Amino acid sequence: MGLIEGRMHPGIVTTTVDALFNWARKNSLWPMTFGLACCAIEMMASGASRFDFDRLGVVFRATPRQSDVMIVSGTVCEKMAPVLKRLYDQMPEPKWVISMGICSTAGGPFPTYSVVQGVDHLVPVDVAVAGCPPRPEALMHAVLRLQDKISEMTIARSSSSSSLHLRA
Amino acid sequence: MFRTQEMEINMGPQHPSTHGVLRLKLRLDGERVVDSWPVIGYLHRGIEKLSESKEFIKITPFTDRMDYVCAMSGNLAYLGAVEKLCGIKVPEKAAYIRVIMVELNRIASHLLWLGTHALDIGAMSIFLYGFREREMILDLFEAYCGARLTYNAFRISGVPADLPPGWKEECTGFLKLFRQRHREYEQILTANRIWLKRTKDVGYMDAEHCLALSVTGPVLRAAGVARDLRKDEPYAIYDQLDFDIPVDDGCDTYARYIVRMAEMLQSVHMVEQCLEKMPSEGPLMGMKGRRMKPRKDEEIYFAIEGPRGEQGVYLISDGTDRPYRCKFRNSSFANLQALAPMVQGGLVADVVAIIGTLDIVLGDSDR
Amino acid sequence: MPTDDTKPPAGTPPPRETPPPAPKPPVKPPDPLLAVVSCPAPDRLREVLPGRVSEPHFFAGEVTLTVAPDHLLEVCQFLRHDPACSFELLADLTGTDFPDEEKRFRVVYHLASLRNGQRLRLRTQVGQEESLPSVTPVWPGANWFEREAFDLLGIQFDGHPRLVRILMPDDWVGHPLRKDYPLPGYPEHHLRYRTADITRRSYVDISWKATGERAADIVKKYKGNVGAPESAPHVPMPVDDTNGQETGS
Repeated sequence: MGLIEGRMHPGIVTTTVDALFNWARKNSLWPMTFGLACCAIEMMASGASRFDFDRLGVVFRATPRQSDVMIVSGTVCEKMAPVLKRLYDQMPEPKWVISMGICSTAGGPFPTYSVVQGVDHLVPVDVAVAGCPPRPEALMHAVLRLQDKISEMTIARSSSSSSLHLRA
Repeated sequence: MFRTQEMEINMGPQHPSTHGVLRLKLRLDGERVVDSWPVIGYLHRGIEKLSESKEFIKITPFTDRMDYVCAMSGNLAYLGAVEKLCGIKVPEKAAYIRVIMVELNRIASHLLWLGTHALDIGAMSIFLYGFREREMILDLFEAYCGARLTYNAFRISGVPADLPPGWKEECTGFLKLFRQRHREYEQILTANRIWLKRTKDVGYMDAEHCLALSVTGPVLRAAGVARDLRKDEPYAIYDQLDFDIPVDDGCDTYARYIVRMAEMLQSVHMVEQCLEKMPSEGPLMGMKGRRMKPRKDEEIYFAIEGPRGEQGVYLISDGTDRPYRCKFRNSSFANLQALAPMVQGGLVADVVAIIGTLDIVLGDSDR
Repeated sequence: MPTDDTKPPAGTPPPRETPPPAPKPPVKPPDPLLAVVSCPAPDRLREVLPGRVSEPHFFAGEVTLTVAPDHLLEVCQFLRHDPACSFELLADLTGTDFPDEEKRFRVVYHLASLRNGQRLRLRTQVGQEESLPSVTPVWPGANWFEREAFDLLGIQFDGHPRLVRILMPDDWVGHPLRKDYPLPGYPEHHLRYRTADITRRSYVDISWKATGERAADIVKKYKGNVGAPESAPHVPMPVDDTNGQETGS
C-alpha cells in the first residue's frame, strides 16, 4: 500500500502478491481430520463448542485433497506410517504439518517396536506442540504460530521445503 | 436385465466416521454390503510389551492412553488388578472418590459417543451440545487431578488427594444441570423421525450372538441381557449404591441409544449418592511406601464394567515389582468382532451408524 | 505384602466337599488370597470327564484348571454346554511366553458364566513347534483373540477360520510379545519398512506359514537375548533381499 494509494479510485487497494497470498492462506487453514489417538479427542474438542476453531478460519475437512494443513494428532505407528505418507502426498501444495503432542513429535512414552519415533521421519513438520495431550489452547497457539510462519512466506520459493521449525 | 458386479471398497484408516484409525474392507453389491473385513492395529503401540519392563506403579499412565475416552475406568481396572494380586485394601473414602470419578467419566464417554454417533448420522447440533456438557465434566476433573484427558488420578491402594474445597458443590450443580440438558437431548433425538429411520432395525444382533462373539457392555444390555459387573461382581463400593441396569430388548442401534442414554442418568444418580454418603474424614491411601511384593508365579484376572463393556486386566507375577505379563482385555477389541456380522446384508450408509453404535475406541482395541 | 512361608501346597487343595485342613501350628493366619472358593465346574468335570483336568488351583478367589492340549476342545465343549457350568462367555484368551520352560507358551482362557455368576480360568501349555486346537467352534468370539495370540506370540491354532496377523502389519517379521524380541524391535527392519518406496507400498496377505517360519529363524538366531528386553544389545536385523522389497503386489 504505497504512494499511489490515494491517486486511485477509492476501493482499490494495492499490495504485494506475497502479502495477498499469505493473507488468504493463513486465514483459511483447513486441516484434515486425521485423528490418530488421544490427541484427536482434544482436536475434536478444539473444533467443538467451547474452543471453536472456526473463528480462526480453521474448518476441518474430511479429505486430504481439499486441506492445507495436516494435524498429526497422536501416536504414529509403523502400520500407519505408509498411510500417513500417502495422505500427505495427496494434499495439494502449499501444505503444512502440525505435530500435535509428544507422541507424534518424538515417540512420546512409547519407545517400542511399533511406534515411529517422531513423525518428522516421514513428513516435514512445521510446528511441534508439546503436551500429552496438549490442551486445545496449545493447539490454538500452534495454529497462530503457523499463521505467523505463513505470513513470512514468499511465493517465489517452494513452501514446504523450507520447513523452519517453530516451537509453539 | 442389468448385470451387477460386486465391488470392493476401502474405508479408512483415515475416514471421518471410523472414530480413529479403523480400516474396513467392504465388498458391495450395489448399495448392499456383502462382506466386510475389519483391519485394526493402526494404533498398536506395544503397551503390553512395554508394561513388562516397568514397575507396577509406572504402568498406570499407559492405561490412560488405551481407552482415552474413559481413562478413569482404565486406571480403576488396572489398579484393581494390582490390588487384587497383592491383597491390598482400599480405604472407603478413596473408593468413593474413585467411583465418583469413574461414573463422571462414564457420562463424558457416553456424551462423546452421542455426539460423534449423531454427527455421523447427520445431526450436527447434538455434537456441539454434548461437547458443551463434556467440557464441564473435564473442568471438574481438571480441578481434581489437573488433566483434561489422561488423568492418572488414582494410585495403588487409594487416591493421592482429597476432593478440593468447593468441588462437591460444583459437582452437585453440574449434575442438576445435566439432568435438564439430558432432557434436551432426548427431545432432539428420541422421537426424531430421521433418527428413528437411521437407527431402528440397523445393526441387529441378538443376545445369543452377542455372547458367542464375547460382546459385552451396552451392546449386550441392549439385547436384553442384564449383565453389568457393577451388580454381578461388585467392586469398589458399588454394592452400597442403589441403581438399576438399563436393559432394552430391541437389539438394534436405537435400543443401544436408549440404553446408553438411561445409563447416563443412572451414573448421575450414583454420583449423587456417593457425594452424599462419602465419609468426610478418613485415610486416602491403604498402603505406605511404593514397594510391591506380590506372591510368586500367581496370576489374576480382574474386570470392571467400563463404558464399553467388560474391561479386564490379566497379570502374571514373578515375585518382583514388575509384572511378568500384563494383558489388557479391552472391550473395544471384543466388541469390534460384532462389526462384520452387523454390517453384513445392510446398506452401506448404515456402516457408519453401526460403527458409531458399537462405541469403539481404537486405542482401546489396539493397545 | 509379605509372603509367608507356611504356604499350603498350591497345586493340590482338597476337593470342595471336605473343609480345608486347619494349619497345624498356626504361627501366622492363612493368607486370605489362597482361600478355597466354591465353584461347581471342577466337581462336574471330575464326575463326567475324569482325568482330563488337574486339581483346581485357588488364588484371590479365582479358580484355575490346567488341561492338556489334547483334551482342550472336549473340556471346553463340556464347560460351555453343561447346565451346571454353562460358561457362555469367553471373556479373554491370551498367551504368555516362558522361554525357559520345556513347553514355551502358556495359554489361558477366561470363561464367565452369566447364568451361574461364575468365572473360571483354563490353562494349557504348548510348545513352540506344536499347535493348539482352536476353540472357535465353541465360542466364535475366540477368533480375534486367537489371531492376536498368533500375531504377538506365534502360537498356532488348528482349525481357526483364518489365522492371519491382526495388530501388526501382514508382512511384519517376528512376534513382538515373545521374551526374546527386544522392546525397540529391529530398527533396521523398520527403517526399510518406512523408507522403501513408501507411497507405492501395499499390504498383501502373506501366508501366515511363511511369516511363522521366518520368525522362527529369527528367534533361533537371537536366542541369546532372552531376559531383559530393554538392556538387550541392539542387534540390527539382516536385510532380507527376497522378502523386503517384493512385498508390494
